[in-house]
Amino acid sequence: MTSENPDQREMRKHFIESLYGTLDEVVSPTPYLEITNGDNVDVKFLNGRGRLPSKNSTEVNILDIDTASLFFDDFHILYEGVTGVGKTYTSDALFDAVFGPDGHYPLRLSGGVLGSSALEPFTTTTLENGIPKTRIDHEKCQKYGALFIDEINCGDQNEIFQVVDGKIHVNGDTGYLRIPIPETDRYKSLAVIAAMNPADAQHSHAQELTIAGENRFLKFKFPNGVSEAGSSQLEKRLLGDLHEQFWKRFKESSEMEGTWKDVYPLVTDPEQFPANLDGETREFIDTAIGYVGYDPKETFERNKDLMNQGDVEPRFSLRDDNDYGKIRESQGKLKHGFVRRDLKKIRDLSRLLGFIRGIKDKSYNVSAGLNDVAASMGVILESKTITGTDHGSLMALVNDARKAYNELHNDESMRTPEGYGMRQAVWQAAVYAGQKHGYDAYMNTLKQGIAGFNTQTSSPGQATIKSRVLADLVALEHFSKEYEDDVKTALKEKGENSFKAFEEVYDSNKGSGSVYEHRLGSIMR
Amino acid sequence: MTRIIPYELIKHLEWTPGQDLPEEKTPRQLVPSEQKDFNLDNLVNNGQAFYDGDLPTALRNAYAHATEEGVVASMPSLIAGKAQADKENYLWENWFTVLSEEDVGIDREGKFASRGEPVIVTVHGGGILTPDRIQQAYDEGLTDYRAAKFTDEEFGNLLNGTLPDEENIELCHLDDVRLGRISNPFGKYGVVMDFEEGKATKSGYHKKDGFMKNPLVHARVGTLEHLEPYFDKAKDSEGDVGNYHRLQEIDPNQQQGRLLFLNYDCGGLNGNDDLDFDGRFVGVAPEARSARE
Repeated sequence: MTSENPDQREMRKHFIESLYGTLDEVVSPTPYLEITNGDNVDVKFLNGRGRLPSKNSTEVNILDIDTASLFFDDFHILYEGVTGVGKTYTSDALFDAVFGPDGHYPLRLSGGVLGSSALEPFTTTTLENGIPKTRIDHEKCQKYGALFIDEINCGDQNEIFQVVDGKIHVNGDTGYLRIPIPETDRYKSLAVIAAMNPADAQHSHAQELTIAGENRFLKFKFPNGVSEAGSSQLEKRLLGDLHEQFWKRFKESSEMEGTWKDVYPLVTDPEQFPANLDGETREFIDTAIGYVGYDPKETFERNKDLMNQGDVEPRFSLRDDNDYGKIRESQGKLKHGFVRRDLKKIRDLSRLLGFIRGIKDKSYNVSAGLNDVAASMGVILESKTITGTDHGSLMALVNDARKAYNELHNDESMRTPEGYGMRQAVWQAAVYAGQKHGYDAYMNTLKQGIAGFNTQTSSPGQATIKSRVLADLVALEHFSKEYEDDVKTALKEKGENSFKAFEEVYDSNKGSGSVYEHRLGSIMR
Repeated sequence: MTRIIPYELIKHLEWTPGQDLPEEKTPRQLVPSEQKDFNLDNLVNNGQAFYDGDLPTALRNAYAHATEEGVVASMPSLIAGKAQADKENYLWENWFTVLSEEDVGIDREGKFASRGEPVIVTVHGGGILTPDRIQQAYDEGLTDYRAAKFTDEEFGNLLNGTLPDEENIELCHLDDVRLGRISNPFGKYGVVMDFEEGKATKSGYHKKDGFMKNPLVHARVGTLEHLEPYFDKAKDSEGDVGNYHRLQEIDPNQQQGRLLFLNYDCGGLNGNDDLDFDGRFVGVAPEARSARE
């Protein structure tokens, strides 16, 4: 997936180079994770400790994450870490540079009756007949480009959710926290970065953020890089007017004029990046989640049940053995499994990681591949662990899933083309067969695909992933029988029109069973 | 909008008229062979090696330890055991003779191949070659390549699934192994394959891909479930594991059989060794008795 607009890419390049140039004197890079690409992805949480650079590896630091997040709306970062490690510092420097002191709002929440409110930057309180009345200030709602919320776990969660969602409600009025993107009818959302101390004995005032709260953010455990950076950090401090320095650099290199409000929304317009992942990466998400985020045995049984409903018996099983026990042990560290919102997070984070790679290799492109998705799943899973548990074992699970998916995808007898899902390949081969030889050839190709994948497995990961692929194909076979006449009509179309017609059959009938929408949507798209 | 895959990339997945329909969906479940008190943990933790310079004696000793309720380890069970065991385990410290025999002869009735063509029957868990029958083979004289000579009746009965003691066993195809249809791969059964298919395989070291897809390996291991972890543990620094046979040298018109060996470390599966070589079998007592001991 690559952005093709060269002007947009040039703008990104100037923006990021100017920003990194400006902050070079101010922010010491804090290594967060390293992604190494090979046959499998390897993600290491660096916890502030950089590694010697190697081929195929990308080191991601906190400034990279903050910077890249500006390009993706609805992508809100939450840093959890002990006091003094620099959670506020990096974000503050970034926001100062891009938005200036008046364009961003640092908010520190505190508990208690007189505690501050997350709505405070966007409301005005006046005394009317001696009674304080709080109203939305619509001008303020479009004043800020970014908001930093410190100690987010000490505030009113309902108010925080409204701010993070970009839509606040006060006394019947609604305020939209966004700034217009010039020459479009679209808006750039408020960038939100939050921080919190861990809810542990050393930070007794802090509470665990609710699950609903954590689901709205992507939580990173903020590394402490001081032992690594040592005295090199002493020279790093906020010097002069970062905002002026940054925009001067940007204007010189890009020759673009205007205030941050004119240029920033254009440069960071999220529409510039394609939103969809390819069939292979989507299929990996669909199939791997049931292995890494849930009990794989339950996932397998659920898929087996669907297969049995379609009169297909899996020729493999998932045994209750040591390997399975280790998986469940790792999953025991999770506060909760994946939720629907996480799917979007995985997609967005994989694009963000792809973009960071683009920054590092100076292409400034977004190219999110399977390894980015795997890395994102690992990061998001690790963000769901219970405070105090060790880092890394869930990432190992994701790597297992990545390996298992890779093995199935590269199966020599099926030879699924790169960039496409296995289910997609079987379905589309069936449509091609149906176009040439009719409905029976279509159905027989599906059956052949099911038989081709229904073979023995060598690991719990393969069994879980394969069960999902097969259950989805069985659902497709069932759908195709249920709507036989419509499918026959679609197959009579020529060339690409046949696929479009099939998609219409799917769109018209997917509501007849939730299993169709859940199982077939990512095959058709 | 559907992203369409170019036809050329997926045409191999297409069914075309005249092509066989995919196999029946519900797999054929083979009748379980006799279930003895056996599990892999017991093999790994409590199995005992029985070595003797006289192979039939080693086998008798292993049987005596196992008793009627226990087992003497076959190739499938030793492969699974080695896949599970860590490299310090006794299973990784020596070579073993396995209770799996590779029998070769002519399929006169065309049960598994064309009539009159040779086949290989790999019998796991005990077949024609009992200690007494091995001794008899010594007495009668072995083949040039040191295998037992079988009578036509013995081999003909085997192809009907009947052993000399009139016990009936299930005979399976290679597909049954590949598709995981053998419900108890550590039990007593036979796998029949075309002789030429086995003969065509290389006798020697194999890289992983070749080893995992080798039909003779499939017949010898009975289930693919433990094959990959076994390979990964057994392979040498070059990534090789062996699979040896004498199928390119022997005359299949002489009905014959030999016991298989499992070599030390990367040496892999061995159908090369002489039937009158030393024997080292693994006897596994019933679990309850192992626990007491």
